[in-house]
Amino acid sequence: MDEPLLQVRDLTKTYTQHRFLSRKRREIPALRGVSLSVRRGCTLGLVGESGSGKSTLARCVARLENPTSGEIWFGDTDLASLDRAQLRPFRPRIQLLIQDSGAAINPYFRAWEVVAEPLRIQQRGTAGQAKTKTLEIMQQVGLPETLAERRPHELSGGQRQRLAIARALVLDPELLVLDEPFVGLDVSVQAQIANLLLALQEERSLTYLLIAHDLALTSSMADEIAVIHGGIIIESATPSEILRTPQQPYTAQLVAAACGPGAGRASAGGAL
Amino acid sequence: MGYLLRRVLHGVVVLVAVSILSFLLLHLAPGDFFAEMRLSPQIAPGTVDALRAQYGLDQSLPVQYGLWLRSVSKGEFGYSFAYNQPVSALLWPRVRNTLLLNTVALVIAWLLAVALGTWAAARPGKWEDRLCAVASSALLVIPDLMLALALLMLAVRTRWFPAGGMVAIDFTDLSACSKVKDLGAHLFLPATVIVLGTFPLLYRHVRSSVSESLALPFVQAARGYGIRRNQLLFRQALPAAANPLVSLLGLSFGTLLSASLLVEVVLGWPGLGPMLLESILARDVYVVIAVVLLSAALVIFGSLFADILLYWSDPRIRTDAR
Repeated sequence: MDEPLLQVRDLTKTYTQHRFLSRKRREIPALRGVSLSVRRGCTLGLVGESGSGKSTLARCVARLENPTSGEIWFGDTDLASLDRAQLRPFRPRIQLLIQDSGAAINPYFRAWEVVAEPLRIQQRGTAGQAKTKTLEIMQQVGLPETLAERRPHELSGGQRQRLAIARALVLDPELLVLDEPFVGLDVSVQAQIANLLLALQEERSLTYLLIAHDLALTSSMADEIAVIHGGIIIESATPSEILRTPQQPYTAQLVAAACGPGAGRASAGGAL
Repeated sequence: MGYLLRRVLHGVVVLVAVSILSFLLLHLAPGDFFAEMRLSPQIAPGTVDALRAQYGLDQSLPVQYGLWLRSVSKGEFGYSFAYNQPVSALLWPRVRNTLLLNTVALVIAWLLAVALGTWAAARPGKWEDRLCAVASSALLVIPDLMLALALLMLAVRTRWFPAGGMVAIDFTDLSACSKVKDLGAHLFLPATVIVLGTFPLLYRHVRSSVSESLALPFVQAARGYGIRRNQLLFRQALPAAANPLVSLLGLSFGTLLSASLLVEVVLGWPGLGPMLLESILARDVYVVIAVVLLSAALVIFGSLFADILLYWSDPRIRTDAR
């Protein structure tokens, strides 16, 4: 329970912007030496405002992005040092739930095909087995079989988020990187999705890296909270410590925004 | 089905409007086919008047339009003054030649553009991508006419290809196999010019839509579950990039008669191009109107075809239309 499944060490990511007709480049640092670790079966909540590097971190951990420097230890493998082909066996073990599930689902597929696609790509089982497993997973995330033949745009926002979760789970990952899973959902659906994620974690002993800008909802789900600001982690502690005794002024601001007047609206609308 | 019928009716209305407009515009121009005869001292003014009366040119414009409509209903599309025969009989073989040339050229241009565009989009910023960008820009700025002339010169100097015409003089005596060979050799030059002229635009559209679709969240999600690059391109990115390209394909359809006009004139392809040019200069109005109408019909058909294709390929459009 205590060994870290994911350990990120001194991770940096710098985007370079090429100037038009010039050799000069502008460097935009998105991550400036991030270190964190997530224990197996636990949830680390990563909280920060837009532009703080949250999503970049998520994309680096899922290796959709090449980090500029640093290490990403998954078990005893440094993912940052692997190339495309070497990464392939690790892909199913780490799944990223992309922000905005509406856009993250292929509109040309039917609901069950969306979930079955990873199995197909990874060539797991026959087509029949894949379909059975797909319907099973959809059932688990609360999508009844009657929705299986629907197209993504015929589903509600909450149903699409469940579909994205089903797709992320179908390969039986160990680590799930959740990038803003509550954005764009109304409060009651947020709570449903949060409960679903907690139940799934229990059932499948999943490890979560939960990325959000909403401190209130995040602290209710996480075992530990890390606050990211300007591409570095400025504070990390348990949720109760963060909420009671924030060490950094920026964290205090986040806490005030989460617990102050209109906090309910803030967590629904997502404004800091 | 009701939708399709509405679109077809809409198309017919547009065609009628186009015919009226081209009638009006052509009659606004001063003079007519027989105007130059008046200058000739050898032709009596009475003869010219008789000719004009014979072809109905002395009637009022609405009457002329009515006469033309009657000839359309007979499938003749008016009467050519210069060739002294119905326009349709005059045009069909030429339309066939032009369609042959443009269809071959467009198919090649599209295949090249989709293949190269997708290939380059998958390698953004690499030298292959940059080379394609430079080459397509260069082709874009070179006028088709110049390309045609350069290739014509090459053909004349090297004698690798026949310089002009569609078939060899002894074409009718050739066996089926060498007929195809001969036609192909004659096609090569004009088709190359048209391909080089249309390819850059198509290439740029394909390259940009595929590279946009590669950045889409669901395509990124597919990378996350370990998809291989070719599958990523062909299963996820290319279908997502298809919508604007299908619309562009419809527009390409509209150019099937017009893309080659100048090339045909320069390279002597016996298609619509040389005939249209001649007819415009001679004010052989019914030939011009027929060509304009045919082009308009192709444009209408092309966009209808694109919409049907989109309806069939994109489930989102299908639901909205219901």
